[in-house]
Amino acid sequence: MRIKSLSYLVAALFLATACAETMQDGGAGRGSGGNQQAASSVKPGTGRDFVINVGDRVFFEFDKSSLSSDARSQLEKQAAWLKKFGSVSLTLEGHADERGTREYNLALGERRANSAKDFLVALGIAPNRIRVISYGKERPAALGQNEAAWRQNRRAVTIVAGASGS
Amino acid sequence: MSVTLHGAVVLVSVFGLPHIQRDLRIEDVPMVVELVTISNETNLPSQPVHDPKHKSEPEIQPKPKKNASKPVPPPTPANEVVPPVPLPDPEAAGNPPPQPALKVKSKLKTEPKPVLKPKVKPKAPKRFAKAKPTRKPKPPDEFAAVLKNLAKEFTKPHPTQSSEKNKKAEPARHSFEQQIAKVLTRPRVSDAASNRITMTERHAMINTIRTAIQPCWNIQPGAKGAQDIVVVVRATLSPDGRIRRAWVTNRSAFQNDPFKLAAAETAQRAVLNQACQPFKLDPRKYDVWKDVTLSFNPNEMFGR
Amino acid sequence: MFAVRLNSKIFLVLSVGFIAGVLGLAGTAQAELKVDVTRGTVKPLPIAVTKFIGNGPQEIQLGRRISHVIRADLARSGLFDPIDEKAFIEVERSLETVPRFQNWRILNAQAMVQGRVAVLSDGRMKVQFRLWDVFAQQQMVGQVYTTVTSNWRRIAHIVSDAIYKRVTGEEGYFDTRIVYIAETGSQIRRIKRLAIMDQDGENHHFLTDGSSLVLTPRFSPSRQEITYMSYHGNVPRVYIFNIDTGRQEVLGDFPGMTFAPRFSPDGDSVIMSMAESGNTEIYTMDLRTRKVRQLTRHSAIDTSPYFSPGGKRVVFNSDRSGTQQLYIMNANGSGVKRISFGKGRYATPVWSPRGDLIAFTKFTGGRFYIGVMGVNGKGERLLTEGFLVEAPTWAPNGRVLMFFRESPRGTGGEKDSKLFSIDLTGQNEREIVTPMDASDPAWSPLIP
Repeated sequence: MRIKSLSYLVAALFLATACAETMQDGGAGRGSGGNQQAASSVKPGTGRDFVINVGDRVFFEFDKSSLSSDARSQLEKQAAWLKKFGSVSLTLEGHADERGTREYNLALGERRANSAKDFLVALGIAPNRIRVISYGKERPAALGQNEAAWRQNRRAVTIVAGASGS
Repeated sequence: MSVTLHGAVVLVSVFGLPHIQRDLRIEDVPMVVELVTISNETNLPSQPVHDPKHKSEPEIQPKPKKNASKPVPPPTPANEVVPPVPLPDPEAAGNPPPQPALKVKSKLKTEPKPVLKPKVKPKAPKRFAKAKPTRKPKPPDEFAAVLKNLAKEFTKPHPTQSSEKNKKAEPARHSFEQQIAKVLTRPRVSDAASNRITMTERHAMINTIRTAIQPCWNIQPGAKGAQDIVVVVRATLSPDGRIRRAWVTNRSAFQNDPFKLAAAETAQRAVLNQACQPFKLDPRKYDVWKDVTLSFNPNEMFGR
Repeated sequence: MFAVRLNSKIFLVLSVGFIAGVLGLAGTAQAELKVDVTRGTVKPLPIAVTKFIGNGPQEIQLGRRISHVIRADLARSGLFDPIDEKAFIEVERSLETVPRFQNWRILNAQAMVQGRVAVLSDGRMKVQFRLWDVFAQQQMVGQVYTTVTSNWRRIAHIVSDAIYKRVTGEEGYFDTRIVYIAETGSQIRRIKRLAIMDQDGENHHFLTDGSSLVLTPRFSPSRQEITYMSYHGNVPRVYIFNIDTGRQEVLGDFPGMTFAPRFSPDGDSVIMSMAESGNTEIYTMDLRTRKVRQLTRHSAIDTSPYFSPGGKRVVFNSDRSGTQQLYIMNANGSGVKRISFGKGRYATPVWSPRGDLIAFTKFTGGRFYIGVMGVNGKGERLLTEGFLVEAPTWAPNGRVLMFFRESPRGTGGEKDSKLFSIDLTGQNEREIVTPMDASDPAWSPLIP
């Protein structure tokens, strides 16, 4: 029994390692609109293009789902891109930091994702292109028990088809 | 690289899962339980308690199993029969003599507690005697001393709140006791006759016994309604200050309530616990303290 | 306050005596001493659990294991203090003779447990035990069980429950299980699996393989079922897991995310939240008719619902006041009333099986707390705290809570997550050891 548990542990560790690598491979866009890499090397209209040249995420205050002016201008950039590539569908992921209870944070993440969705729709993006999902505090982007990490985790991430996960 | 690792995980998972399932089945081996209550009369050789065939009660039949992977329920506690408990050795426990008075009662929550009137007038003995318990509403935020409450730690800004209360109460009590002592030791009060005791002496005896027994009384904090039960134990002491016999008065009254019975037994154990004896009492006054009635009530400890 | 009241009793005794004195009756002939004992200790009860006796290696081994499990159960409850076997003066050789109480009294054992294991000719075993009151020198309870030998662990828990019940007067909780979420991997992409084990951490099994994120499981009070939330297929929904068959079934067909499920006390319905378009409301679903009913209608987040033991009321948390607070409503959604007014945020309320208390998670001043309050919101008491403590669940007897605690590990931002139990006094907190990190515990009812 114990031995069996251990084998699962090992398996899980493998999986975790594997996924962590995936993260480093794909989850490049940490800030809003990080465009450090040369835009020319990225094929327009792809998820990579979106992450690098537009910026895939907006951030929220603690226990809030209202959009700051930074978040709104970020979403405006996203909307422009989405209009340009009108066939791309997207998923809006809502996330929360670890300073809340699990169930409430699921609801809060859903609220944040919808807050971003509503704004995109108001800017003319068709609602049927947008799928919403909340991960609550289950999928942090940054590790750390401090406000800097928590701020990065209170987010709504726009995933366009072909883009890597958050 | 990453792909390879994922692949490895998938393999482990796929092979692992059936094991999990198999384990589950092993764990859920059908459980057949028959239960009979062992007789209490273990000192009767004619009734071999280990043999269920000699039981007067019918054996509980194993329930037919409905599902191979589901445990068959064990007998419910309702099947348990607890016959009246005999006292095989009267030496320590003793048999209760006829004792009409019974004090085991559940206090209604709504009933406020008797609280001493704070003013004590030393020169008015009659008024003193009349000092009936007055009723006073309980403070709402008073918590049991035994119940942890972290909230106290961050309600500190209010120095007059409950946490301060206990500290203040201590000196107050001393001065109050001194006052009483003053009153009671007046010549008018204490009788000069040598075979009588003063109220102070009486007070001291009560205090001695109380102080000695309290560490031996294992109460159960957090039990529902624990604070509402009063258990009265009568005891006879030996001249050496040890309990000779002790019994809960009218024990049968709560024989049917497992919780009250348990509470009564904590009191009985407190009195019978020799670790807290002998009581340091004046042997010359043995006549005064050879019979004692102890009333156990954790109410004040729970503070509500 | 306490001291004054203590004195009031003394005072009453004194005043009675005083009248007697005035009347000239004071003296040796007066009424016997009356002692009010108003304080005790909360020390655990010293108990001697002897090895269950038997003949032959198999019986002896079973007997040793059973008494070991009983000792561990009783110790973990915090109400018993099992005496070290090494101190025993002699081992009781028989179940048919009255024990030599003086030998146990010397050890200050207040209770003594003895037992015997007999393997029957059909391969099953018969387990007997007696619990003795050492001071009163009488048997408190004695029982016999017959079962297959592989059930020895369960029998031990059942015996522990019998002892607990006889000594405390309340139902035990040792013959129970815990369903929880086993966690592995980095916080960034945590692997979470549904797992089940006995309340003491033994008999551990995984129910899901970790391919889907799973959260917040709860036991059915009436069937071998667990309700939980799963991200299977990347669609977060409430599921029901059948423990017997391993079958998983999505519950209902909801347009939005369903989460925070719990069974009703009769097990016939599930109460949960659904989030859609940024609004979270509470719903019930009848498991037989599949009929769905919406209980709350408010733009706020209404979640973490929990039925009262009778099923007539529901406690939940809502941020309709601006921050999360606890509310109670009738089971049909009417009569919503806020009950928590303290500083901070309140969440994950769970109604005590006794009906008198509500346990909750509280977040204030950057720290998390597990606490209890009366059903009317009065008498809040915080039992434990930490960087994160969350999701209390009641033992079936309403005296113990289990919850999970996360603590930062090192400086890299990773965390440990462990299960703990704490009794209602807040004095007895213990880790429930699990093979890996753990969260979201849920206590089963007493195994039927």
